[in-house]
Amino acid sequence: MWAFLRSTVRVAASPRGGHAFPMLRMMGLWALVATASGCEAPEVLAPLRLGAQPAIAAPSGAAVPAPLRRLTRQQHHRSVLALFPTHGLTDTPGLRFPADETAGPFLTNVRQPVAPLQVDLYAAAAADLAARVTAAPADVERLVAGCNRFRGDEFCGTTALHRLARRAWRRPLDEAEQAALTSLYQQGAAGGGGLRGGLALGIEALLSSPSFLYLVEPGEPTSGGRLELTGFALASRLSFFLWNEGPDDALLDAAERGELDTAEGLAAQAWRLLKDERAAPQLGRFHLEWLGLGGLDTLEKDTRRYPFFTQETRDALKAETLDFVDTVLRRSDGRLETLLSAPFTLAREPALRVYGVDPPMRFTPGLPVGLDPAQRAGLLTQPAWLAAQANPATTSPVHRGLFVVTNLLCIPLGSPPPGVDVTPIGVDPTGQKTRRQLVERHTSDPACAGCHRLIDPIGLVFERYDAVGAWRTSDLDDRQPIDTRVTITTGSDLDGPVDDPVTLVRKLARSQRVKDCAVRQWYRFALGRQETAEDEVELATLTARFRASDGHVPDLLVALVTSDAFRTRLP
Amino acid sequence: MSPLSRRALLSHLARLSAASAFAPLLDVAAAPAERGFTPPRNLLVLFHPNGFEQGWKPAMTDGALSLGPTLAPLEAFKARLLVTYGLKAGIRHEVQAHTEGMTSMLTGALIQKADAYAAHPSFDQLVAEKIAGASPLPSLELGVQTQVGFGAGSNAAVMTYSRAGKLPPQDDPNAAFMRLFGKAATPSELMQARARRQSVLDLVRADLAKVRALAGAEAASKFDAHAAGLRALETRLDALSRVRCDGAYQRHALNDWQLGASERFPLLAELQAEVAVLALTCGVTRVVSLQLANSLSDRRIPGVNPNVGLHTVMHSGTRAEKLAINRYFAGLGASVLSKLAAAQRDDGSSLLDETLVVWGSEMAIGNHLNDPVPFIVAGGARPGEGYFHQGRLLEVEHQRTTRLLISAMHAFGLTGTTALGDLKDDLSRGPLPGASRVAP
Repeated sequence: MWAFLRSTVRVAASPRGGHAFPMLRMMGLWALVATASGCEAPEVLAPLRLGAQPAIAAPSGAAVPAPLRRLTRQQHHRSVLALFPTHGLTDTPGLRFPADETAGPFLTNVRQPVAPLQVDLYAAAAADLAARVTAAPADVERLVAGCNRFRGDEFCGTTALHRLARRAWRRPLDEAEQAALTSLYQQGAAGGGGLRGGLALGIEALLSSPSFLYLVEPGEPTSGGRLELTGFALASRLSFFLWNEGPDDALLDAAERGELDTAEGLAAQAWRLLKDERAAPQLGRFHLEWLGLGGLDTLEKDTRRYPFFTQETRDALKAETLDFVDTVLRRSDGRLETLLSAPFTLAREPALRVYGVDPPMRFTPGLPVGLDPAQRAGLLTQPAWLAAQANPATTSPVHRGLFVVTNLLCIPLGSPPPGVDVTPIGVDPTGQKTRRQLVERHTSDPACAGCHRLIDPIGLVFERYDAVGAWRTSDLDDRQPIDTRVTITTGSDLDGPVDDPVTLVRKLARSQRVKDCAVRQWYRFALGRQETAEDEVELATLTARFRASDGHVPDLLVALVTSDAFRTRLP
Repeated sequence: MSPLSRRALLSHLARLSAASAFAPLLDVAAAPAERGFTPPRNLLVLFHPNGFEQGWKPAMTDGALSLGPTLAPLEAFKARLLVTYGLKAGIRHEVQAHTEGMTSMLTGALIQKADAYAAHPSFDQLVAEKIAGASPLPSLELGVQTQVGFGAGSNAAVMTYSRAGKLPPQDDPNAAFMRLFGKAATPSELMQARARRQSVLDLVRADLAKVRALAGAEAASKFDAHAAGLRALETRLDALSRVRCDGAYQRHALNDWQLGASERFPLLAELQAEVAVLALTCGVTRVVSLQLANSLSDRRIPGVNPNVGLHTVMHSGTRAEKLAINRYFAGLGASVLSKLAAAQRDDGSSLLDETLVVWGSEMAIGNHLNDPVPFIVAGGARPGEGYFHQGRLLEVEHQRTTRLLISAMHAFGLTGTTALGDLKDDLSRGPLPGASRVAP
């Protein structure tokens, strides 16, 4: 239990500001980004070979400031719950806002300006929530709990509003803001509104304000031309990164005391947040989004072939992945290799059915169940991922292979060349060809082979698992035995012959390339944006550290929090 | 915002019969007939995903449209339709047909990265700039399960764009209805609500000014968009408080499951069509779009494609399976037209006579082809009086869909428009030849 807590906190007390981002232009790692071009040119893959990468000049041009982040649906929802923890809220309007945008695989609203509809929905949500948390006399009492009521409604009401405002806006209020909030209270309390009316009006305004809806990140200019974020801005970054909600009072207090101005202080808070149960769903969310499981809740399968693939099954598959991630990262050795290779599950019964495993005697849901190590090893052999990267009735070797290439190896691929037949591989109507033979059409066609020689072998290894992730030895459609012997050619340390999926997955688990890619993905997740050229120096440092720690994920997250990229931004 | 609960408000609304007269519009002066046609008063954009399977092409028989099996559900309206055949989508790369198809369909914008959003406004927004006038809402974007399952949140789930950016549709009909009509009822309630709103907005604006001052250029422009949204909200609430509308809207309890479940798609489509028609009937807006699902949708609709999602069927289903989906969407289109036709004025004219319906898809068929994209123009004027030559099939070759949209803009008097977005080549410029009854 809590193995990661024993790991040494090794925080490089890096000097703030003035670091050498232009050094990037000499960094070979930039090649990872620079190769995002078309598939029809196989030679673009040459620079990917690890260890022998020629330096590629980063594009010149002005540095790109980090985009403004607007809260996601979950961030809005969870922040509201955290503001009113004793009101028994479960369902909030934020959950039904229009869908969030993404940067890479991760949900983050950084791309487009807010639409008028969304502004309306914010206003409606604020009014709705303000009414709900002041609905009954007991609700109002919860808001002013702890206040000496002999000091009067206005004192208690405005004190409560000022306290809520610090939490909602994630910063202290200046005097003018305090006065404005007090005046708002008075307006709401007038005309018979009383304590309830004053609080409701104030809360509606707090939740309608940009300081709640956006991550505003002020900072002090440094000699290096970047802004050093204030302690409060760091508290928000940290809290949204590890909890996906606004900071709690303890974190805001730490910011106020200046504790977040040092790497040690930040690291201490990061460990505190990671230990807290609120980190569990967030670490889970990273893996759901990294693995492309965001749509799992509504994933549709062909109900003729998979009648058991109901909502209950979908929920169980998602829960399995979340429980597994939490167990490995927060209750076990915390290593990426374990995530990608451990042959056990915490599956609930509907998920065990997909495995073809009977619940063991004295089965307790939530406790680990050992799986056949020749068939299962970690996240990529769990039904959630295998089902999500498949068609409704059939497998999709291309989807599975493409996913590994782009999300686990961080090899960006372009689109197929214009004019090619992009019909998904179905079932051979003549019944003469196996799916493998159908897929091999790609690699025999020079127009397709450039990318598909990377993608398809990896995907074909996973053919052992059907469209919902059950183990199989022959294909239901062609009735042919499945041949998963392939040779991987990605220009990475994954290359070479592979016979079966567990061997491939274990290779992935040990791969330096996958570790480096995981760092990049966590970096995007932590900052809520795509990396730019300026980020490559920091990424190289973090990558070296992650390798040195043998892929210890909590250690990486704390290193990320204390990195200059996290603590500063471009103005 | 209104202190009334949704339940309280909806329970006050009686469901009117479909044939009842609709309330007078806010500004009753119809535009005069000019250049030999009556311009439409409203625009309704309708979208269904993944086009129609090959074989949907109707025929002309003895000077009349012969709709064929795909479009058969539209039989009652065939004299009011201009069905085009042969239009080409702004898709450059078949494999990106979902994203390029959606982003370019109404904007003419060509995206450089597969996941980019359009950088140009959609034609409906340009029409809204021209005709919105004093209507409370410049435009209304409604959707049916556009933000559920595959494609949700991506650029394949949005088709409408303002000059500032994307305008994602609202999928919850109850919430959409409340946004339009959920206002306080009595004059004193109205005054209270207004005072309350003003107080809240004062604080929000002060905060906005403060955070904007801290922000760089990128963030500042986003805060400006937020400020514009607040201004629009204020204007809308004031204008809505003057709207009197005895609307027909059947309240259905819609929880998250119902909003997200494939089984509820038909109900949600029906409700959103009601909200759309109600918004036009009551003059709340003059430009509505109704987006059925999204380009990657995996919805499984009972009795239509119960086993396999929409997109999968349109990719690799049998002909019969594809036809079932096509006919289902044709039927939904017919249902929208029926609702417009059923809203009648005392003189017997209908909302369909005033509302130009532009109905299209983002690609030709589910296999990503960009030609022939189904596009249909319906209503907009009393039969024979409008800009478009209806009751027939218009066959074109390799003309972009943008040309039909430009024709629609001309019908609304935007005759200066010659091109949309990035599509400026000869096949994309100018109104579509042969579409108009009056133009050359």
